[in-house]
Amino acid sequence: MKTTAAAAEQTEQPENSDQEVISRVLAGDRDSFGILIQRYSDPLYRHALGMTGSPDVAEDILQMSLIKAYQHLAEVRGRFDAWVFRIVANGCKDWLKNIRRTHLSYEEDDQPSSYATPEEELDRTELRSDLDRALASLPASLREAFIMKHVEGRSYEEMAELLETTVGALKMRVHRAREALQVLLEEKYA
Amino acid sequence: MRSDFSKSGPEFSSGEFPTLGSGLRLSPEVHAWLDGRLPAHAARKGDAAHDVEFWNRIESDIAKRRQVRTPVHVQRAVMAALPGASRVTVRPWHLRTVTVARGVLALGGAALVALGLALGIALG
Repeated sequence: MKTTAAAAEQTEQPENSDQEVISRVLAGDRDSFGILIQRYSDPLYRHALGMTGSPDVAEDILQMSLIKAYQHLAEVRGRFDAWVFRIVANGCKDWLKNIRRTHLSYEEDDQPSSYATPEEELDRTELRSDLDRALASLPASLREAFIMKHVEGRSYEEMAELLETTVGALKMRVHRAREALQVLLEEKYA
Repeated sequence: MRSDFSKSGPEFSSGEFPTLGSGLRLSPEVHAWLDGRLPAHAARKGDAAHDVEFWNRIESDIAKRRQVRTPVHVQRAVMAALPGASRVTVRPWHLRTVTVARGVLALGGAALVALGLALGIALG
């Protein structure tokens, strides 16, 4: 399940395996936690960004999740990447629940622009905006499955392990998400 | 198999979602192609050719999303926010360094002198 880059890094430097790094951090080497951040933050950020649609919110969730992971590092059982993914995924779901509870609607225009440069702003094509809105309209479980499959590139088996459900259930979620997105977007993009 | 939809198409906003079960159904071949298990030409059968073209178009944006990197300041912010050292060493009291201010030292000295004088008078 580890990303190719993360897996390759650990193969080349076994002394920097996740378990080795965790042991050093727990022994007091706080700076070594940065290795884990560099290794896994990209896929985690993409997940949070896909689920929330907001770069600012995704950053907040990622930061809070990584700090929480540090605080509870001694509790890691099994793979660190799967464990920290669940922290991020739960953070996203909590944010979404809070949005619904406070009756806020995620409308792209309401979000403050968080892009660093004007070029990044321009890069937000109409398709990007429409796909963001379509994803935001999906139930969280379908959105999550679609993002994990298409944006994060995970296999159904990886997804089943991370989300603690079956491959069959996940295939159904991904299929439904695809069909719903096509219904929402095909008039404009077919 | 595709169900019929009104030409105007559904509007979408946060929280709204087309009723499941009444929507479009993509063919198993299209799903298999999107899963990476079939080549595109095998998925293009009949109406499915339209679906393949649609998803080819969407893929152009999804591919960009796969390249998104974490903003560079995030790691710095996380490391700065981490709690302090995880282990604290407590030194035994008799090995701790004690710092005494000069004024306190002077007063203590004067007190000892006064005590000595008092004892001398009492014993004398």
